[in-house]
Amino acid sequence: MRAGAGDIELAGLCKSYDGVTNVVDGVNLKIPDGAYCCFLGPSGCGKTTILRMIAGHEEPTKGEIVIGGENVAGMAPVERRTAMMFQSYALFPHLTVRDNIAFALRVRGQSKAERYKAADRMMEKVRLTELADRLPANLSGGQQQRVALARAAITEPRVLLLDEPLSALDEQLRVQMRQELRRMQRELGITFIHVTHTQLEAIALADIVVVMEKGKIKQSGPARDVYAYPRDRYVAEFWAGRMCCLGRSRRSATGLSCSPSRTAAESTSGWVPRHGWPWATASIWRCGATISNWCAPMPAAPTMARRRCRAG
Amino acid sequence: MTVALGEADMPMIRTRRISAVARGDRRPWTFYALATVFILYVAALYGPMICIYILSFQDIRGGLVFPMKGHSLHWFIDLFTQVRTGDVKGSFDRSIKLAVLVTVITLVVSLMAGLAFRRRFFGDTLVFYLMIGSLVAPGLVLGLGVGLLFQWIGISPSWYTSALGAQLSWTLPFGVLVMFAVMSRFDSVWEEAARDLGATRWQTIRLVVIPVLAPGLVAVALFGFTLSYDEFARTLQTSGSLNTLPLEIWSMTLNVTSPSLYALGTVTTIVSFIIIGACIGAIIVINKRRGVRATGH
Repeated sequence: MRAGAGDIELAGLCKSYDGVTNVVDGVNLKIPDGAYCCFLGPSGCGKTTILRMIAGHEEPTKGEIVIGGENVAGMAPVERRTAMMFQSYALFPHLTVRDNIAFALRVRGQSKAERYKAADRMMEKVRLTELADRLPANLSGGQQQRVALARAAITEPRVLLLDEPLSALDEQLRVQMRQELRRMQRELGITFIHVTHTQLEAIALADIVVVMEKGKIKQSGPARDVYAYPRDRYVAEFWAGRMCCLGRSRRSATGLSCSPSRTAAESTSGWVPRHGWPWATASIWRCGATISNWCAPMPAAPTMARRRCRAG
Repeated sequence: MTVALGEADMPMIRTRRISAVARGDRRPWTFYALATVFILYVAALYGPMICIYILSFQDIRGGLVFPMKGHSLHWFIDLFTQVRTGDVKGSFDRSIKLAVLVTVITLVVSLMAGLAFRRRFFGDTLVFYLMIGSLVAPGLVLGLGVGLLFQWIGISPSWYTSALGAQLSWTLPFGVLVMFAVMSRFDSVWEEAARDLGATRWQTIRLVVIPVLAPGLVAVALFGFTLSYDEFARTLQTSGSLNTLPLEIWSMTLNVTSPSLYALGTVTTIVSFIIIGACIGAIIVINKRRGVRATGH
């Protein structure tokens, strides 16, 4: 393994606040270097706690966190070379955009000229140059997010942790910022771990999806596989969301599914998506629609399902 | 295109709204009734003080009551030159020094208490109620107790020892209560972000906590200063042989019968207003630099 690599391994990770119930309950996971990984699950399932443990803001009760081959127990966030983007961005209200971004360099004792040069370079990367002297209160939600991203990225982390980064934005901006995040991830070439409860975000962004429930991992793997072959009803339902009808499909190979290769026989659990993967991503990128396209048609309302499929 | 349209629309809507207000200018009778009550209230509040300010500008024939006899700055000069009026300059000096001392201690302790009380700790409720207790304790009795305690320990009471302690028992609870209100708007996620970016604890406090809380800290400082500068009851038994300004004024009311007493009132009021004005100015400047009001751009 090369030095400073951002591959992450969680081994038997547990976290308990009261000593009785485990918020995170024995999580084992490997995330390869440079992957975009999405933790997906309802609120309170422990996904944010895992993120905070990786970041070093909370210590695990049990288990190990290994980043780039080194056990990071008890290390400060900077020593771990992780950086976190907080849910509400947590921009310092008294500092300008430039000073916010340069903060990490300031506490390292860099001179003003030096850190401003680095900050200016980073601002160019996220297209904030003309807003350099603004205060966070005078920025829009999307601009604030870019500042938060730049502020975290300037520490040159090997892992960037994002805690529901898009939840504070309106729908239209969310689609835009998704692209921005993906672009930044490719540009920086580091591991991104993104916590969300929105299925769309996970599909649109992730290489690896981890679906969680009550502190346990329900299923993890390449986004495409988790989407196409949900292990059980919980995962399938989670993908489908409330918008969709569920049913076991024996008709997905009959042309109703836009992806003929995904058949019930291939899926171990019997749950298959109504539409194939490319369709899903394409439509999400295009309009940010809700996933009503997933899952097999419900026998009770076949016409509706058919129509929706053709429209797609 | 849509953006340009939206911007063009805005002023039109705004003018429409303003004209609507202008047309509906007839205020209900309750407005006038309440305005009258408020004016009377303000007059009752400031009237007596204004009388004193006016009477302090009389000339040498001036007395303690209306009508006003001439106008000059005679009694102000008298205040600072005549020895018989008392040690005004010295006591003013002491009062300011004591107030600054009290302010600094109140500020530091309040900030630390504010940071500490965000989390539960063993005995936190007890500490809180003990603090509030010293607020409701009668000042004279408390001052007496502090004086006795210092005598018993063997420290001679003076304005910078026992009076300082007695005043702190008054300003600290206030400072901490104001600090609680200030802290309620502080999001600890900022601290976490600073830690995430590699700041040490001390750097976090210096570069994030204190600057973010700055307007609130100015308010705490103002509280500490004015409470100390005006404090009488607790200081009376604890200041030792040298008086602070309120004590000096009090002793002057017993033996000085000239408008120089009023002149002193005017001077101390001006000092108070300068300090309050400076603090409010500081808060406004901080907020403006932070663009709190400029919600748009």
